[in-house]
Formats: sequence, structure tokens, C-alpha cells
Amino acid sequence: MMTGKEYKESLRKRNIVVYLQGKQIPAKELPDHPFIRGHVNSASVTYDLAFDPAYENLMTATSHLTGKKINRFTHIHQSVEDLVKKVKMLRMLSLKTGTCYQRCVGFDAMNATYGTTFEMDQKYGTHYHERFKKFLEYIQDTDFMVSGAMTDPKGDRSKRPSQQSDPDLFVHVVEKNDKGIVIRGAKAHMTGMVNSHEMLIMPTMSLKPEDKDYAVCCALPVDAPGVLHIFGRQSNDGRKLEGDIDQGNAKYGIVGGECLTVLNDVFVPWERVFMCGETDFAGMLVTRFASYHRQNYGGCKGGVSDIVIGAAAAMADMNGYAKASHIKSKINEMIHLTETLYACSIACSAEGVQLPSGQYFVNMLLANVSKHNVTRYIYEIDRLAQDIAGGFIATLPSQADLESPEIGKYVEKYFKGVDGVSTADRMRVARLIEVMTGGTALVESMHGAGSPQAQEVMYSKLANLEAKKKAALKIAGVKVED
Amino acid sequence: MIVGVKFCGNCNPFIETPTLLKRLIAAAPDLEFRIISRTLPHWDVTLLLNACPAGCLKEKEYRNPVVVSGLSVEHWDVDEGELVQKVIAAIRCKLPAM
Repeated sequence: MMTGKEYKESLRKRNIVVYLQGKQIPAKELPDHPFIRGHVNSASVTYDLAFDPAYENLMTATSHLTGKKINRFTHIHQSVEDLVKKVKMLRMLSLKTGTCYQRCVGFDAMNATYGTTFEMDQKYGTHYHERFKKFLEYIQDTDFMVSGAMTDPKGDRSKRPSQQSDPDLFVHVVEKNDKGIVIRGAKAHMTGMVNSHEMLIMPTMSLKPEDKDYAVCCALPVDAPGVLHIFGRQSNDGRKLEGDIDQGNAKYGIVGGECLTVLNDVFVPWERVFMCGETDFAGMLVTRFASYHRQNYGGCKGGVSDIVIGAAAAMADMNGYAKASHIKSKINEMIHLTETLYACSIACSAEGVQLPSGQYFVNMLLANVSKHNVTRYIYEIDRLAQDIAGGFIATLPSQADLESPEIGKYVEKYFKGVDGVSTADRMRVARLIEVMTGGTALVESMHGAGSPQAQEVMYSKLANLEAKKKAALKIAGVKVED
Repeated sequence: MIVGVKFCGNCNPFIETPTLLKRLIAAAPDLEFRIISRTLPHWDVTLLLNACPAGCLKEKEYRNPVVVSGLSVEHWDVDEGELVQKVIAAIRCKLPAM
């Protein structure tokens, strides 16, 4: 396993091509760039805590391939207990960072690919699973961070991949030879990609036989020839060039640091190809990845919401209205919503099932409900936090004003709360609430791990409505056949 | 050969396991399906009938099990129309050699 320091150093050894605001960032300087370092710091917590005895029960696991102790983010779930520990680990990490630490995407991609390749080989006599196990062992051994790469740009959403006027709007195979394949296209919203070592490419949707070239799953280094990344903007990211107070969460940043990853005719050797043309398994890979990923959200967003609750309650203390009954009621409502998020993630894990590969998989219905809760409840939790905090989180002067020799005294005097709390501390908490409850952070809750409609489609399929109708008809006295 | 049968409890069923059992009995008359109870001294295969994918009856806790969890047999998804046939095939695989 790597420590956080070793992880950061390993990032400097890559020749990754990253563009940010129109300019290429030198690869060695990338982990220190103000727009990126917070995401690196957050991911590095997943490495450091694996060495801390207080957290190793959640942060580490035993590899079923080698028997070695590994970071849990490289593990294939071997039991219901593993699924539950994953959720608890995510909540704990969110409480440490207040943001996204990005490694779950690759974690979920590897778990989804593991089981799908097993079943593909059973049907077609292919050797994808053995190949994937070798890749997995490499990842467990190196403790590399893997970015799960699923979402294609999609172009005209009413058309299938093979119907697009530009064939590159979904990643596809453009060449096959005896050594491997060449892929072209792009992957969007890539969380943690620029501070990962490897990426695991998956199809973005169920596919039909005519989409054969788009049924591709493979692994490649993030700095492979032909790969470039364009880093996305965040609300308030210009503040990262200033002092720490105005950033709110200066050390770890907000959400995952997403980018567009462009694949310009990238060669992938056969030993790293885990699906190539098996369109009938694209849907399985997508739904397994999506369900594993949706499992996470009551854990990670539960922990993030813990920070929002704590910040709101601390702000109430700083403002002198913590004892007001309506404030207590709002805090209690935030707690209720947060624990509901968490409960659903625990539930979909506790009801996990074994797959033919032997690994464990979440209850898909509950996992999708879990993520759908996040698309709604986080907005309510954040609305309540803003209600409690007050309007000054949106009108507050800057850290530079606070520190100005001319006007700092006015900021200090007129933004003070109760005695015993500095204005600077009150401003820090206000900024934390501001950045955690608006802009990029909220959009991530809506669309991360799939937009709400994607979850609705899944749980409407899985809820067994016919059985509910039959049960209701029986109770109503309508004669029905079993 | 005796097939010991255990129902999960059917809290929120995706399949009607009592109906499935009736169909299994009809489709495999050579097999003796018996509900597992304290008075049943012996059975050759344990048939775990979970009514939904959650699969609350875990095979680790039973000897020589065949596990049905909603529309899956031995953890492989099956079509509704082939469920009976797949369960019987799985049971026959687990029967001790005569």
C-alpha cells in the first residue's frame, strides 16, 4: 500500500497532459496547482488512513487473489460485511475531508468489470476475466488510483451510438490488430482522473448489435499516448488563487475535480481489453457499475452532510440563536434527512447478494433509491443550512478586506457574532457553508452516479409492481390467480 | 431422494415461492420435497426458496444447498419461464450419487 506522501510523489512521475483555462499544466507541477491540489489532498487521505490503526478496519481488506493486505479501494467485495464496510468507510472519509475523495469510481468500475467478465467468459469462452484479474492484481500491488470512465459525451441523446453524425461522441474501437485495439472518443465528467494513475473505460449504456464497435471495456494509463484531459471549472474556483478563508474548504476543495478526457486514437494492448464487441453484456456492466456507485451516496453524502450540519449548528452558536426552537427543529430535520440517506446505503449493502463470480453485489433496487434520495434530500439539507446561517454567507466581504490595514477593522467589527468567537472564524464557517451548499457541490448531488431519471428507470423496473397490484387486489376481495 | 425445503419468509416477494414449490413437485415426481422442520431427520439437498433478490437464506448456513433468489438460481439470472426447469436441474446436480 502507498502512503499519502508516496501517492503524491507517484503522481509527479506521470507524463499526463492536462489543460486548464486554455493552458497545459506541466505534469510535475500538476499536484500543486491551486485548482487541483485540494482534490489530490483529499485522495491522499484514502492512502494515509489505511496506515492508521484507528481506521484500518474500514480502510483495508485482504485480497482474495493474493491474501495480502490491500487498500479497500482496490478490493473486490467478498461478503455483505465488505459492502457495509464500504459505506461506513465513505462516511468516515467524508467526515475527514468534507468533500469527494474520488477513488470510489474506479473501485466500483473494477467490481463491475470483475463480475461481468466472469459471466461473459462463461457464455463466449473468452478470457477477459483472467486478463482482468491480472490487471486487478497489478492495481492491488501498486495501490494505484483508478478512474472509472463511463460517461460518453452522447451528442444527440435521441440517437444510439452508431446513429450519431459524429461517431466519436461515444468511445469506440477504430482498429484491431494482433497486438491490441485502438480507441477514439472522449469521456466526460471524469472525477479524479487528473490525479489518478489508470483509467478503466466502460460503455455508457446498453447497446444493440449494430453498436458493436462501442462495446469496449479496457484499462489504460491516464498518460497513455493520445490521451489528454481538459480540467473543468467550478463555481468560485478563482478563490483558490487567493487566501484560504474564502475557499471554505481550502485543504480538500469541493467535489471531485472533474475533467473531459479525450482519447485520440489510443492503443490498448489485448491484455488490458476486457470487452470488445459483446454488446449483450454492455447493459450488465453499466447497471452493475451504476448500482455499486449509487450504493455510495448515502455514505459519502451522509458524511458530507454531517459537516454541513456541524457547520450550521456551529454558525447558530456563533450567531447566538442556537437555543431558538426553530433552529433546533431545523437541525433535527437535517439529521433526519442525513440518517435516511445513510440508512438506505446500509440497507442496499445489508441486502447484498452473491454473484456467479463469487463476489458480492448490492441490492439494485435499494441502491438506486439511495442515490435518488441524494438528488432530493441534499437540496433540503443545504436549504436548511443556508436558512440557519443567514444571508451573510452570500454578501460577506473577502479575506483580503478582513486583512486590509485600512478597512479590516470594519469587517472585524461589523461581522462579529457572539463574544468569544473571532470574526475570522465566523467567516470561515460561513464560507464553508456557502461552498458546500451551492454551485458545483449541489449539481454533483443531482447528477453524480447518474441523473435522477436513470435511477427512476431502474427502480420502476425492479419494484415488482405486478406483485403489489396482486396483493392489493387480494385484500380488496378481487379474485386473482397465484 | 429427499429435497428439504426452506422458505425465506416472503416479506416482499418477487416470486410466489409456494407456487414455485407446487410446480417443482409436479415437474419432478421422482423427488420427494419435504419442508425442513425439527421432525425431519434427513434430507439430501436443501432447497432455499428466497422470494426476492435479497436472498436472506444464505447457503453457507445449510448443507448441500440449492439457492433460489427471485429470478436467479445458484446466483445466475434466469427467465421466469425456465425457472422450474433450472431449479430441478440444479437440484439434480447436487443429488448424491446412487
